[in-house]
Amino acid sequence: MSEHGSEATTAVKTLRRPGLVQKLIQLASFREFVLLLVIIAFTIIMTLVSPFFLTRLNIEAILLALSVEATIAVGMVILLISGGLDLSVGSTLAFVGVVTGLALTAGVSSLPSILVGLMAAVSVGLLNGVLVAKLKINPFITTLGTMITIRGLLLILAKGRAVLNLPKSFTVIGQGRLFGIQYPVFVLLIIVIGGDLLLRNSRFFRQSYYIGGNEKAARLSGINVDLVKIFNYCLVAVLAGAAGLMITARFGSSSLTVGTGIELRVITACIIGGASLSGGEGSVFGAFLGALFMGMLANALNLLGVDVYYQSFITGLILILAVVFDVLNERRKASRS
Amino acid sequence: MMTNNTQTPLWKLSGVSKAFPGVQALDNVSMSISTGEIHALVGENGSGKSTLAKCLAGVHQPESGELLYNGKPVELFHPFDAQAHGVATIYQEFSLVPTLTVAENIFLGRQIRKTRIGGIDWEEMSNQTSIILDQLAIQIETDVVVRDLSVAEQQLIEIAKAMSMDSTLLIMDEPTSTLGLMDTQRLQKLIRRLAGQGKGILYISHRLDEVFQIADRVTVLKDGRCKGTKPISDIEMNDVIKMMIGIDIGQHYPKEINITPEVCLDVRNISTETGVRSVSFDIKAGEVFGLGGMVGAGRTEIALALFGFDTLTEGEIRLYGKPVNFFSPSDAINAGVGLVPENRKEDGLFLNFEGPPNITLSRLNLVMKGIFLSLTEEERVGREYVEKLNITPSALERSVQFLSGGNQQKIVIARWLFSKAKLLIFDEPTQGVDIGAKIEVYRVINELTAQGISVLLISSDYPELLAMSDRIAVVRDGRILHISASEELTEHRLLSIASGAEVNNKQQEQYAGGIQI
Repeated sequence: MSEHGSEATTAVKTLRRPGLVQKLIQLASFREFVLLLVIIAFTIIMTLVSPFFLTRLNIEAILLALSVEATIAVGMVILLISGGLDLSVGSTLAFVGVVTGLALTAGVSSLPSILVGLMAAVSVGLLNGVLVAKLKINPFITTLGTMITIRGLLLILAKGRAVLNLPKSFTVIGQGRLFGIQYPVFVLLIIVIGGDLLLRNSRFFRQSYYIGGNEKAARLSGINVDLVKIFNYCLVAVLAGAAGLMITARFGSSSLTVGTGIELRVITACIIGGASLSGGEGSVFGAFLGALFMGMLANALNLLGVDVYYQSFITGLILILAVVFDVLNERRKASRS
Repeated sequence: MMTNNTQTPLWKLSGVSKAFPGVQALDNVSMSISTGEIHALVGENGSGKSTLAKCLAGVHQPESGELLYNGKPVELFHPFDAQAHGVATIYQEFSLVPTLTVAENIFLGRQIRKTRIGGIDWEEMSNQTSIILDQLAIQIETDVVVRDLSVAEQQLIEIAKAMSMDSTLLIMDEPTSTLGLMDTQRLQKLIRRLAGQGKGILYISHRLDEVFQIADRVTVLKDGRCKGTKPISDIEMNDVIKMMIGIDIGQHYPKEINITPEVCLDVRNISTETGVRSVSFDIKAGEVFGLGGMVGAGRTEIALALFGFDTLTEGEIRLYGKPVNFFSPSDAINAGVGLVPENRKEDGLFLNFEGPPNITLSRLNLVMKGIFLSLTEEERVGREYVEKLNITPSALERSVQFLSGGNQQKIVIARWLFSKAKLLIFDEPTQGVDIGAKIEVYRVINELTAQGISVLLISSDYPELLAMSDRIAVVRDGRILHISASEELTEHRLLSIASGAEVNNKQQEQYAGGIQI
């Protein structure tokens, strides 16, 4: 009863608010808008505190670090929207680096090597997708299994040693510059803008929102649920693979431990950006902003010389804040009905 | 066995009322249950049977009226209170833990220990379970894991568990709805045995044939009111049906007849693994074809088979003369079939979207501009249907979860209008919507049939089914028992066929030979 009472008073308060304020409140319920404001405020504060923050070199450093996490986040957020989850992206990232590296050192030229690497990613995605969609195994369990298996497989393939001395024709994709900006930054921008456009406007990607919103109703409305799910697992795997290629090219070697723990950072970015683990909610732009915010935070703490341990402490707090914000926002929406 | 009027009844309900938002579920109901009595509670769907049972089980608390236990007024605030007063309820969903053994389930939460703080005395628990099962003549081993038992056996264990708690009143809500004939007979034997041991039984069922086989007395509910209690020996099945239907059938149905001679859907001998058994019928263009029958009779299963959701094990379906084979709902949708599901909130709506995306999803290709979706075109479509179906304008900008039941229903109907369906299946379209929205739904049905669209109407609201359908098929146990024009059918007749009261030789022949219209 008390809950009903408080809901009623909130509703009355909302009604009394003048038009402009009410519009701002409506805008505030868009996660992207709030995040953008937070990021702008954060930038202003950091610029005042550290003169180095808004320099070209630092911005490039932030974006370069972001190119890996945000690229995967684009695939992850689409998967989360359709009600899925993938913990194996970190392993896939390293796996693709190793497979490509081994192909290159075996004398295969760059483009075919990259294709072989991406095929490896697709097979991981297919495996995850078929296990989840067709055999109805829980996504957490499935991808936890593939995460461990793939990490093991890449260690076996590389015989426990990093693949070194990759040819220049390959490393250029991670180190080359266009207009003085490194390639991965362009790759990132293309994937984020393209992903956002597709998810908002394409018929195929829209289906993920329907599936995440109500899977049975989606089936009853003629959506090929299994196909979309399998596609989404392949998409996130390929994007993780692309991220793996960029890292490998940047370092000039295939590391075996790269990408460890990245899955949780990517999921965190998606959720800060407005996605929900129960599906149906989220956007590519939001996930990008979530990743950007986390990247800026890490960078700022470095610049300020704050102990690196504070980084995960603060990131965790922000994740909890974002989720609490979501819950409160939902309640407020419900009270208006 | 029989009631003794001089004795205080075990339980007595006196003037019990209970309302839920928008519906008076129980209105001044009085009845009594004696020790050793099997008391049947019957009534149409939504007449208040389950609400009454839940008041006795402590799930609901009546707003007025009294419950008397052995003559003394009691208040049951919680199921535990009811349990403490000897009330045990067997619901349609069981409360057994599937991964534990029979003995563990029966003694769940009150395991027998060797000493007060000692380990569990497995041997003693197993022995006690054997004794309980023996008393009830249930032949199931005590160490079997419940998951491995059949549904019927699980139900017997559920009853044994209830009896082991020294219950004096056993409430059974549609206990035979999932059982076959053999299991039903076994259950009835057990119920008689329990009554013989002095337990009171409240037996809720819509199967009148069973009620007349087993009950001592019967109480009829209609629209939450008690229409009377009679010893079963003093009453005919026909009288019970009359009491269930009542005489005040409102004729508020704006039925228009738009049936044409052209055959839209032709179904021949279809069966599915979900329990549809050799069903045949046809639907004409512009016809409203009704499927009547009890909840769980197999009507929804027939609909899902027609919609490609369940695969056929035999039989064929023709749509406008063309044989069709639906492997998925998308095949059915592309061929021009639409389904408005029974649970619109669970199976029909996307609560993460506003109205327009909920309308366009089955034919998103119609709101494309080039390779992309046009959100403005989607908005326009949404606006068009909101106006056409008289849906509240707030549906355009707010999540559909905030709409009323009637508006939600109309959003789902709009989806199929937009997808250009030629055959629309309505599964309980007016359940849980108010009378105004009901009439809107009837008008929509009229508009559809006027455009030559055929409607398959599944409804447990018999007056509605009779008034809105051109022809009606009565379904029971996954078969169609009877097809006739709705004018030739009365609510009384429909109910007698659906409840199994009327099973004559002619129908037995039809079982065997497939039905000809």
